[in-house]
Amino acid sequence: MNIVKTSEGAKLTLALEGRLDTTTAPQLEAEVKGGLAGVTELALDFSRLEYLSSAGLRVLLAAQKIMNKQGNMVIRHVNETIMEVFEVTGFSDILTIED
Amino acid sequence: MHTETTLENPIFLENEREANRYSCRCLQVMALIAALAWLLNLLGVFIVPPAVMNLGMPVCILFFLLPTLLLSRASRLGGWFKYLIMGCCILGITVLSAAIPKHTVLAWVAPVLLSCHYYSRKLTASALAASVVCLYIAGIASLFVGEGDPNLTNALRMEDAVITPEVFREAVLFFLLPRSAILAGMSFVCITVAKRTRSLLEKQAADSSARQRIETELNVATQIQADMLPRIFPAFPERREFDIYASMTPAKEVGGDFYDFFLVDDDHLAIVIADVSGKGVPAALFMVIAKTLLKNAVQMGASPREALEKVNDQLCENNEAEMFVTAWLGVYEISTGHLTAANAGHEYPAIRRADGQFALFRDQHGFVLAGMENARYREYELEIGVGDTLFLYTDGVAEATDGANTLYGTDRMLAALNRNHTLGPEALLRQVKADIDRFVGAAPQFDDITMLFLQRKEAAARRSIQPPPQLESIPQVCAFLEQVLEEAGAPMKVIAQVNMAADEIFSNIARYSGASTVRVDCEAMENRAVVRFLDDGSPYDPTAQPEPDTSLPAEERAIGGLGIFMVKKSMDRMSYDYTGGKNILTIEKGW
Repeated sequence: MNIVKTSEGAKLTLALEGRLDTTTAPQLEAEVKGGLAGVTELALDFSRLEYLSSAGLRVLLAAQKIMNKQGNMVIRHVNETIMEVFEVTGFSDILTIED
Repeated sequence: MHTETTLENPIFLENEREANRYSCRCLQVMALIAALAWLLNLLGVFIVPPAVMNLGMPVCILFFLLPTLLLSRASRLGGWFKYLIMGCCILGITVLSAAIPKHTVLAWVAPVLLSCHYYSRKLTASALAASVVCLYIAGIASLFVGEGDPNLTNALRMEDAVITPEVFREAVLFFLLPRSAILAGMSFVCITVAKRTRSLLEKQAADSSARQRIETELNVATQIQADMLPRIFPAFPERREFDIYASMTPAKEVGGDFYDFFLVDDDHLAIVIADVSGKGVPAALFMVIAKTLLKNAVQMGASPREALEKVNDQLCENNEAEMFVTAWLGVYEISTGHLTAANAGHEYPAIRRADGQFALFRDQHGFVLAGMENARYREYELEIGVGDTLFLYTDGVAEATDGANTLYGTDRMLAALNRNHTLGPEALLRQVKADIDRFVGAAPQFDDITMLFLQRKEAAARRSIQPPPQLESIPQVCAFLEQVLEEAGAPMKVIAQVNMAADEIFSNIARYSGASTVRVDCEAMENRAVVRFLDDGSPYDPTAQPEPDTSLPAEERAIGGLGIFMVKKSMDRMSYDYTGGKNILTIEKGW
């Protein structure tokens, strides 16, 4: 999985490419744990993400909890497969998902 | 005491319609006799004054024929039609009796006798009363128009032309009373006959409704029995490595034959064919017990030999009815075609090798089940190759008989099998059944006819990998699945979902199972894929875990259990089995 970071002041965009699963989730986790200091607006661009597994959900949940304290987080361009995962797991109620 | 309300009983309503028709016919005969008397009088054989006959006979005949003329409208008159018939009969006889009283004394019995058709006391009593009144009227009338009844003319002493109390007393005493008494006696005979017939009819009606209830219950039993046998074909649509087809045709409403097949585990199919001694309800009850016990034993892990021995002992307990079962039991290993079987006094199976002909496989028979306690059975093994077909049947096939009592026999059976050997199980079974039916012709079916075919087929393209059970293998597993699915033409979304499922399952195995080896099988078919994960780790059934609460806010969410939940939701089927020291998790997805 590739992560492309675009930073603009307190606004951070992470564009994910590939799969967010057991083996790649630690990559994103590292970004979330280490790179969110001072960020008030976090945007995750999923337009090139194929799918995610529960390991990916775990990281998204952690990021959401952090951003709940210091600003907000949006997820953009979610494909159908991933949207179904968000819906069956109830994550669509927790996350802010935009087109 | 019977009441007339039971006239509403359909049997009595039906009888009344019949009685109307027969009464009309009786009256027709009476009209014919009157016409004959008239004719003979005209010819001079009888010597009644012609004027009396020419006037009385047409009127009398008309009365007798009137009900026949109105019969087509009987339904509109309902229950009144019988009174019309009685009325016409009595009036006809009154006219007849007024004309020729001396010769028609016996005719007065006719109305009461006719009323017997209706099994109704009320009708017979009415007929009696009306007859007595008309008898007297006819007697008086005969004095003026006809010859006069001697009994009455004597009593009335017509020459005086005065009716004194004494005259009246004698008319009653010598004319009315004796004839009324005879009629009343006749009526009593009719009434008792009616009463007895009514109670017979009522008993018959009750019997027939009891019989009907038993018939209905038997139909339900037939249905229950049929539902006990696996009857939905194809039985295992997801299994392309074998094809199975079976049918049971009971000779009576319920039969003693049965077949059964079920998966013992993911790779083993148990097959049973059996025949209980006797037929009908007792055999069907015993069949239910035998079938249940055999299935239980095999599902508890017993081999065919062990299962037969165990079930034999169970059936021997309290077998007061001394019934027994012949049974053939086999356990078929789907992946290898290896068959383990044991035979308890059942017919030889027939086998056709891929390019050969059907032939009987003369296996070693043990004693029938439920025949003797502690009976021992021998187990044998057989390799079923790709394209081979196994045929199991009951003696209803070989012992089907035609009108001349000739047996169908195994030779005809094998010939029928070999004529159609290129067909698949279902078509083959139909052909053999049709051949038996042709042979038997119109002769009744004596025994249940049960047949079962098992054919081993080319296994679906199954590919496997055995990566080391660690998280680092996940990309390798995903790449493998992606390749197989892409080749099978699965859409991108399905590939993503299967990969996601594989990620969840494989990471669980790598993290928690402690497995030393793991194998991933993928079978891709036209529009579905079956993926199996086999690991030798500690037994763990992920399908039995509780579902996570997906409605909690972010702060309270836990991730545990979410992965398997996602697999369950995105796959069409997920099943778990622990067998041979291995966890086997199977997922299935169609597109």
